[in-house]
Amino acid sequence: MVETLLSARAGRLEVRDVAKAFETAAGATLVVDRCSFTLEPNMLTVMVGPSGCGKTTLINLIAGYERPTSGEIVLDGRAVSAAGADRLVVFQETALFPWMTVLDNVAFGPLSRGNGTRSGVLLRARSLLDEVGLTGFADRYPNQLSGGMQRRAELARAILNEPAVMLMDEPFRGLDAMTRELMQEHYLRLFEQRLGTNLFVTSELGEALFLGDRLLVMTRKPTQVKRVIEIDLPRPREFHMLTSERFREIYEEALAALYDEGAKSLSQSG
Amino acid sequence: MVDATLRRARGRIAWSQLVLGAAGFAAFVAAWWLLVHFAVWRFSKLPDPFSVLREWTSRKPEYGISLFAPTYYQDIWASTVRVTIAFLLATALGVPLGILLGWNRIAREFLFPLIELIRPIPPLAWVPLAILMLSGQQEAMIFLTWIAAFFATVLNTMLGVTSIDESYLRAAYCLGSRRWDVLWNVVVPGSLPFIFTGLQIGMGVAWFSLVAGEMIAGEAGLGYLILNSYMELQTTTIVIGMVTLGLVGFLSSALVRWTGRRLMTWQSH
Repeated sequence: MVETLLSARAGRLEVRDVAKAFETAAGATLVVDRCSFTLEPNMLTVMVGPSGCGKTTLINLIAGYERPTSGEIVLDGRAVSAAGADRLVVFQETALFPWMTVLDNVAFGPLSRGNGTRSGVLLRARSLLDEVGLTGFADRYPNQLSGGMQRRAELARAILNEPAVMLMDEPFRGLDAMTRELMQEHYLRLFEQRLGTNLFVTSELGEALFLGDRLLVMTRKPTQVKRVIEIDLPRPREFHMLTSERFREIYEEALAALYDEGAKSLSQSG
Repeated sequence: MVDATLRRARGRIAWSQLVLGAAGFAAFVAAWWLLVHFAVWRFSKLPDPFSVLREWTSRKPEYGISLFAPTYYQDIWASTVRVTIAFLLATALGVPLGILLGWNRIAREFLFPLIELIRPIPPLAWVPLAILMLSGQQEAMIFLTWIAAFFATVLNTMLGVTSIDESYLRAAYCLGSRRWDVLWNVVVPGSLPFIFTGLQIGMGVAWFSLVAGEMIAGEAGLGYLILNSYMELQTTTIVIGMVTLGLVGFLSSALVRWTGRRLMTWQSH
């Protein structure tokens, strides 16, 4: 069952020598330059970098909301040219539709694509809501839910859509520390059960290493990959791994790379 | 238990609102009575609030218009019919056009400058053209009532569409929606709050314009009643007509608001 699901959505995404420039009043600004990396199927790739370095721009390029100025983005051999259901973004701010109930939100993707019968989709949506601890909230509206519950509903909506690639753009930003940890657990459990290609952008190194299989440390703007670090901690991930020797080693290595970039961007702006 | 506490708090707010509202009303009536009674400035020309009330509730009104006079209801009915037709036309034409203007850049660039040039022309300035171009008086008055409401509806709807958060559109597209799904599932519900603001404004300006139209071209209706009473110096009836306009205007706006709330239950939590 799981194998057939996975083969149907191989989800190997390559970013090839991509550059993106924006026209501003002050002239063109290069936000991404000569950027290349690959998101492997069934791997959770995490991305960290100095704030404002262009991570969200990269997400928008992969999602197809924007087109690269040069280079190309290829998903399973086909160049990405527009937004589509095979790449799904979970945004920094909640994008649940406030005018739909939680259940209608979660079921929205498959229903609007005519993917399966209505009752079947709603059944799966309800069981996913159970899985993220939102049993009994299906018929509420998003603004009746707390921030953490909204994020969980959004995770459920993303997963029900079965995208080949999941793009998480700092999805847990702005949540309090406790809720954030709970969200990390929910997300890890969902990923470890279903796998698939995941890109998770965050500004918290600890969160990145706790979640991911592979870390991309990005340079300051115009951004590209500075270092790739394999996070060889065992799965399933547990909180006690945060205090392991191996975690500390990887953390220091990543921090050195990140600090180097941070210092550069400080001296640049100063 | 929490629910009960909340309900009690809410009840208290409603009470203080009611008391304050009634106090404001009473203060207005008192000031009116005092101004007339002591003949301040030219207030001696006006009836005091109690003689208006007496005439309004009289079975044998001095000037023929009261709660017991059939012609009173004929005037209310004539005006209500015109406003209803004009308002429904403004909604049926204004909402789709507003959505088109907000949703399609070419349509917006093609039509918006034109609309912005026609919109500031006051309904009264349309009177001659309306009478010349439209066959009947009824049509002319409905046109005059419709035009300002139509523009209010178009502009607010367009504003509603253009102010929808981009992230909702992006979310819909990456959930696999096609353009028409997005229009129906995101754009229309997302702009509903603005659309209803436009409809409320539209209802208000429909009454403004109607009364102006009826004063110029009418044979029945509240605007006609007020003007006719003015010609015959029946000031009490003028005030009855004004109070009635206030009441029906308030009720019609309340109806629009109520419909909006019913359609947007998701907002009110």
